Amino acid sequence: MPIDNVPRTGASASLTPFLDSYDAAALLPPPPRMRTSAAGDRLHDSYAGEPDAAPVAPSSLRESPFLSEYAESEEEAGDPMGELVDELLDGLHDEELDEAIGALADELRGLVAREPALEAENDGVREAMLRETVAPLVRAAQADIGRAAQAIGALDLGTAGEEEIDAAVDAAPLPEVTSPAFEFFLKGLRNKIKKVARSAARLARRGLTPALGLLLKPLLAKLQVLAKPMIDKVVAFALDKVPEPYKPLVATLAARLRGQVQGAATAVQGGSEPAPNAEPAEPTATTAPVPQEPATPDTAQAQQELDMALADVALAGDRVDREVIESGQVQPVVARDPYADLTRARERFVREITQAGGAEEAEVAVERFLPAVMVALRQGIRFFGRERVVGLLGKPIATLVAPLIGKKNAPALGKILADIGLRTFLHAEVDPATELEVAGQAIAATVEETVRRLAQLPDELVEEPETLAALAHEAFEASVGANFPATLVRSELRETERPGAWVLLPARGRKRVKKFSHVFDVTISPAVARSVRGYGSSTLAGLFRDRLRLPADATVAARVHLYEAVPGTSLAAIAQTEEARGLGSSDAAVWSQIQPLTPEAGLLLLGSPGLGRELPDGAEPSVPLVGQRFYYLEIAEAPPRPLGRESHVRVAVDPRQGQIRLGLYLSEVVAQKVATALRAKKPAVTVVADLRALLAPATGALGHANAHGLVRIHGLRRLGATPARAGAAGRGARQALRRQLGSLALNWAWKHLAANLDAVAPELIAKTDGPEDGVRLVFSFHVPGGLAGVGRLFRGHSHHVSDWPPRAPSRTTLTIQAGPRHA
Amino acid sequence: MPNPLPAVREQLVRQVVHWSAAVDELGDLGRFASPQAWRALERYLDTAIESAMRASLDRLRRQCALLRARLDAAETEREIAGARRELLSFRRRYVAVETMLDFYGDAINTRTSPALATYLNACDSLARESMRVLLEPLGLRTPAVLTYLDKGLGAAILKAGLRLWDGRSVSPVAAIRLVRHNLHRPTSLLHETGHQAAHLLEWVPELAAALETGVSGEIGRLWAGWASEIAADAYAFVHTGYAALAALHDVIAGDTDSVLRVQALDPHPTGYLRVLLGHAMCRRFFGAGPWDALARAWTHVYRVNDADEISAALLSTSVPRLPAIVEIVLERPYRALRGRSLVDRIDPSRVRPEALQELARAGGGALYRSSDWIRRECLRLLALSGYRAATMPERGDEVLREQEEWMRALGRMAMAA
Repeated sequence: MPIDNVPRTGASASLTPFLDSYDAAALLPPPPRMRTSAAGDRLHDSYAGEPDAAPVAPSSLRESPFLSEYAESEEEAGDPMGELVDELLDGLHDEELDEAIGALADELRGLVAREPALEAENDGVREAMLRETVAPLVRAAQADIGRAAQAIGALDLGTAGEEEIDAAVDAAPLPEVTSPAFEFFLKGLRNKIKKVARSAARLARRGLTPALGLLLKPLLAKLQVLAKPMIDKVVAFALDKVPEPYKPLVATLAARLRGQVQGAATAVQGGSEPAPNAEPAEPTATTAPVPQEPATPDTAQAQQELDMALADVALAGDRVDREVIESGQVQPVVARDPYADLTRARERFVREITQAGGAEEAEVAVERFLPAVMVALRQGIRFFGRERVVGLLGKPIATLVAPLIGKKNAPALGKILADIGLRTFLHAEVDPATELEVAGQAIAATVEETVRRLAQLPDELVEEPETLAALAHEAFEASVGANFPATLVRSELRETERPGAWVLLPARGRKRVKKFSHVFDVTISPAVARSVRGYGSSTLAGLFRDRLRLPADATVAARVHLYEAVPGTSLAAIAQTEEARGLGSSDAAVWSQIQPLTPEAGLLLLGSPGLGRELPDGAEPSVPLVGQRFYYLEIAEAPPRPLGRESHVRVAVDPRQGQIRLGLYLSEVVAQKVATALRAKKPAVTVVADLRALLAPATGALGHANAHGLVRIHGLRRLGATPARAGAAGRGARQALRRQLGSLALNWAWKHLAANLDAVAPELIAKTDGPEDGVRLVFSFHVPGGLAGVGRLFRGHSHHVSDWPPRAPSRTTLTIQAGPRHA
Repeated sequence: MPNPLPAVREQLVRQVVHWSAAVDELGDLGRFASPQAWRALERYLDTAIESAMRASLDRLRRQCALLRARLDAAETEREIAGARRELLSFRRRYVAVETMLDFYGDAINTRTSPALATYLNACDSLARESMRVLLEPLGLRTPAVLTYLDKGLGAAILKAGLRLWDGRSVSPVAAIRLVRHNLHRPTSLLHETGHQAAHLLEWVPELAAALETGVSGEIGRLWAGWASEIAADAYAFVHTGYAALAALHDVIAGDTDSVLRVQALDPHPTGYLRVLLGHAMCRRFFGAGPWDALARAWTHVYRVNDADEISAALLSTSVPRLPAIVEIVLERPYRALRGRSLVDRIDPSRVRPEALQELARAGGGALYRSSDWIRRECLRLLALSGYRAATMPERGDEVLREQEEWMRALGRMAMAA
């Protein structure tokens, strides 16, 4: 049936997101009338295109992060146990182990993806195969920890320093394993052993624990026991499952001490809370949603839980059952698979909705589908409660999709969608059954996104059924704009005028990602490359220069591939399955080329800001968020795989120690430019000026609004982090303070480097001579006074800091290290 | 007498079945090169080659199916005779395709060990980079390169874009033969990429015309006939300077007759003149240097008077014209080079000894280890290693170790993800 023949009534086209040529509006009811309540007023404003502005900080706040309200409030921290746990967790955590766990999960995922037969197998078979694959790693890890424990045990711990303990751990070569990811993991575990020893030593020095030897033994025994469940967790991650979180004793203990059992229990869920600044100030259902839901389990959970377990032993030593710790009895890893449930529910919905005879049958299909969508949506459950949502949303959504469905309409819609989308990927004709499925999938994706958008709204906006129905209509329209080709959608709802459609891939089996069917040919000028930001301090210019080794002044011709994360998406899986030049592997060096498609990137690269999605503060590439969009630049001149890492900057603030550390990683390209200048005996001031210019794109990110991941505050890792009572204004103050801390540290670093470059030049040159990629300058600034107040502010305890900012650090040290590692 | 047609047909059917099975056997590309060797190729290189191989095979399969259909339908004597002619034609096509598959299979199979595969990957990168710097600014795509190892004295190239043995397929990559004795002195790669670049730019006819008119008299035509090889030598020179001349010298320095005899149909300039032309290039762009000693030794060992009479005359007439020939080849603008000269496009002063020393000083200890230096300066590193090997034979082992270090690093960079 030609698509134009869809029956129409006289209803206004403006009521449907679709164009007249596909007038689904015919069967739509008029939109619910707006209420005039306070919530409704805000809603009305958003209809008028002027959403409420986010609270604007007064100019004094922009200059100084300390609001008067903080200075006036006098509540002090008074939480020594919580701070001790934080300190311990900070000391135990190792970023390289996080990377190693991520790399291991990527490798295991790649293993499944490379074996089509395995991909088709059931979960049990896949899991058994992966466990068999990692069995040698488990044995090697446990043996290495046992050996290291013995070596440490042989030391005189009363006198042994950190270097001696490190040397004991590294005395034997790493166990031989079959893959680089396994080796990386074992290296990470050795870091962990060292950190365990250092943390224990710190506790012993402060007299908080029994003698060091008595503490270290059970700690390392626990680590040895927990190596297997940790690796089992990684297997679960690789299969897109979500392991049940660990319930630490210390959390309960610390919380009891503070009388905040509930708060602590929530805080230790290991990434289960949204990022501190994730909530939009005043969201509406029509604005592009800020992605918030992790599309894949956060592999950092594995180490977080390991650290909790170790903290249990260290701090609650007398209370825990040593026999359990040392007997090796641990609970098996239990993991759930919400994405598989969603996949099955989506498949059923697609079947039902394409066969549905009308709105009533559609309502049944929608109501059966919504629970699975909600289960996959953490916030959905949090905000609404499943029962209520199904009851309130089922009918309005079913009414909205009704014009698209059934044997009459769905085939025609499917034909159009297949023409624009799927056929591009299959390079072949698409049969009618598949066309029908494509139509169903587009509707399913629209329903899922509608629910996601609604789930982000504050509770008060969705209290009333009528308001919810109106919001559902709004959200549905916006979701249609995001999931249907521009040619079918009213112009004001289109995300882009470019041809193309989002298609769920792979065509068969579990869906891993949505891909835009059109691949854009673009040229990227150096100025644009400098302006397009990625994660952290990354920019396109940095990627081009440092990793793809393209000339700095080159205009780059590229093909832009667009992706959208769905539940279960990982960048590693995208990179593994894509055949575009430069992809084809789940290796982190490869998938890390996939960049977040922000509105800014959409505008500068494609001229379509609507295609982009805001990047939430603190978002990490290892945990894509559902609905988040990405792009990959396929560049003919680029090497087959990127080389090295991009220059970056990190700041770590340790209020307890009164120390700010700034790590400046100079990529191999930048490091060699500096070394060449130093060999040529250029004046220090010139070298530093050139270096500042070379690193400007990366260091500029410290002043960017999204500096969350770049300036890390110690002591906020688990307990008491980001208190709710600070509110939005508190978030603004903390953001401003992060920026200030970053800028301060950077200025001190440049000054110190300019003053000392001649002295450190020989060491710097020597460190660039080796085979390692790049060089790391780590500045440690000891700040007199001041930082303790900063720490309390970040914990949400108001405090007045009279001598802030400090003029200069009391002492600065600079260490130079070869190769990339985090500060 | 019984009708012979059924018997003839029966013989044909058996043969067609045989060739059909043979075509199926060809389909397993793992029989031509080991899976390890395939994996050792840079990812996009293996895709290009495999696609070309499969395209030829598919064409052969279709021809085979056509042959079977034709034989099935053949009833009359004329039709059966036609099918037989078709069978004979098919046999030729089969052999041509098999030759092609064998060629690429053998070439890929020379990556017998991970170490050698990495080294040859580095050669692929060097070769591609040498073409990229010329072709990319002119808006041309740089072809993929497959370097392989073989016996013999000299390198060779099967240029990308040429018709292959089956007369239908087009060579998907520039396949460059590197001979074992020159594995660690691979400047000959750049001579071969000079052939490829000149072919893509259609420079040789223009250069030949310039030589014919620029070098007066009978020898102008002689030099014009050598234009292709002169272009390739010049290409190696602008990229690697004296290293190219030293390596060329060592390959050519055979018996007196082979060096001094002028052979009219040989596309290569007479060995005696080739080395002296390289020397003239060094003199023109670098001034005095170790190449002078090389030339003195050359003319001392190989004396024009020892050549046959005709060759001696041609050599004697040519030698004084070498500076002019250098000017024609390197400094004259050509349409093929978009109105510029070769040295405008690739500046040989970047590989003069002083520049190479400056490179060594600037790079310091990182020069042979840093991915930045190696990727950015791989061609000048080849020039530097070649220069050091030629001028410091007493430190040959050290130079070789350094060269292996950076070439293996370059090869690893080219490996697929």
